[in-house]
Amino acid sequence: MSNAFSDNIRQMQTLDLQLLQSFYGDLTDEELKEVLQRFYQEAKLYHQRLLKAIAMQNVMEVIRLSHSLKSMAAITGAEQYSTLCMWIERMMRSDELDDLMELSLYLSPLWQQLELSIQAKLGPEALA
Amino acid sequence: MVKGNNYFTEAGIMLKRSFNVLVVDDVVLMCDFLHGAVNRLANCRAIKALDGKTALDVLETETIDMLITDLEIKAPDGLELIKRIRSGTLPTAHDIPIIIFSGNAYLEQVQQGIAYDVNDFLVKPMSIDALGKKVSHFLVHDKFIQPAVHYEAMYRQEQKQPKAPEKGSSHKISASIVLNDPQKKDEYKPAQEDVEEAKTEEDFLSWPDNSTTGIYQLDRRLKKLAFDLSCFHNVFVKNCKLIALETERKRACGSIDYLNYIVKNLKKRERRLDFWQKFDLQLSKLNKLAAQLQSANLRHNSLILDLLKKLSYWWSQTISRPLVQRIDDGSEKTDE
Repeated sequence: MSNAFSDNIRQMQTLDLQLLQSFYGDLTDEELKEVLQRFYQEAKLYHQRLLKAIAMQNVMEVIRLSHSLKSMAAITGAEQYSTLCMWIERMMRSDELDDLMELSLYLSPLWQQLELSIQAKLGPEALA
Repeated sequence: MVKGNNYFTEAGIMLKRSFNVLVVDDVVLMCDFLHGAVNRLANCRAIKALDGKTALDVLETETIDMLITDLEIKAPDGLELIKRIRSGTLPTAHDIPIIIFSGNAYLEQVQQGIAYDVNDFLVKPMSIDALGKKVSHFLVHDKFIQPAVHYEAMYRQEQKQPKAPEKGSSHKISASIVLNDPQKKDEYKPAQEDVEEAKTEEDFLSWPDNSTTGIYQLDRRLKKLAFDLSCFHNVFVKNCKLIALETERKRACGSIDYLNYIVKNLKKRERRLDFWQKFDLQLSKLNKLAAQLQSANLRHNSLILDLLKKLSYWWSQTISRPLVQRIDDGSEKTDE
């Protein structure tokens, strides 16, 4: 499972700003930063709640949170993280609980990479 | 972009007046995205709601010309909002354009959307330009929407059905479809030895009010199929042994085969083309499901659950179309 997932995201970027631009239309640098900032603030809370839900094995909550994170991340160009959430949601919907644990190991590292990419664009103070 | 009282959107479509568009999504980022997409259009004003309750408040107090909603929002969910609008239970016009904007496009949700005549089902993510074009298009191109009573009847019927419990494990399921009708229940005595056992369970399917086909044999076969599917469901939720599930599967598939056989014979006798055309369409859907059921791995709980849900949806579709209506003098006619 984890190999299949690694293969799947290998070609993807952590944060694809061109993709973000393609969804939002032409954004100025300021607007782009604002979108990233808002994504980070909201997605961080969802991410933390998702980790908690997985630890508690709260299936419905895992489905709900991964579903929301998937779309948020996709529209922001966070391809890898969005794909991970999509896999988690799909797995939960088909009751494959065993694979969830394996996949959830990717959650924190991918989030940290995403955080770094956003930080690189916004500057360290912006994420404080 | 403004010409007299007419307004043009970015897509070049003429808007003859100003429009209020309600956008609903529980994720702030997505709600803002929708808000931005609509507000970019000339003479369109977006109103945001982050949950179903706020959306309802807006629908009750504002004049709304279009709804764009996610499905998975805090109660009432997106589908519930759509149903309430279409069935005319809100002050908002029941025939406004409705766009579903969701991260998933599961067949069941799409089918529900179709039943309530949503204008489009858009899957996230989508570009702001593409979304803007869709909004402009549906604001000026009317779609035929049935009278509110049509959706109200569907909605009422759904409300009468027992609700499915939340998903916690693969076995906690329910897919009840139609109301029980005690009078009719007494009329039909299926030749099953486990009737008593089935009565103690909440039925998966049962024969609803005023849904007679008017053709006795067909009526009987459909009832028998409902009963067998109900038994299959009960055995499945009780987590019975595989051999019991296999027996129920054979029984349900046998019922479908027999229904096909009866239809073939009835067609020769009853030459009501309109009726058979509609019924054949339903039957072909059922036969596809039967083929899947026949070859399904019974250990695969999710798959079986999915099939049961599809069969229940088939059933609700079949009975929600009054193929035959009872007429006052006691006889019956076949027409829609």
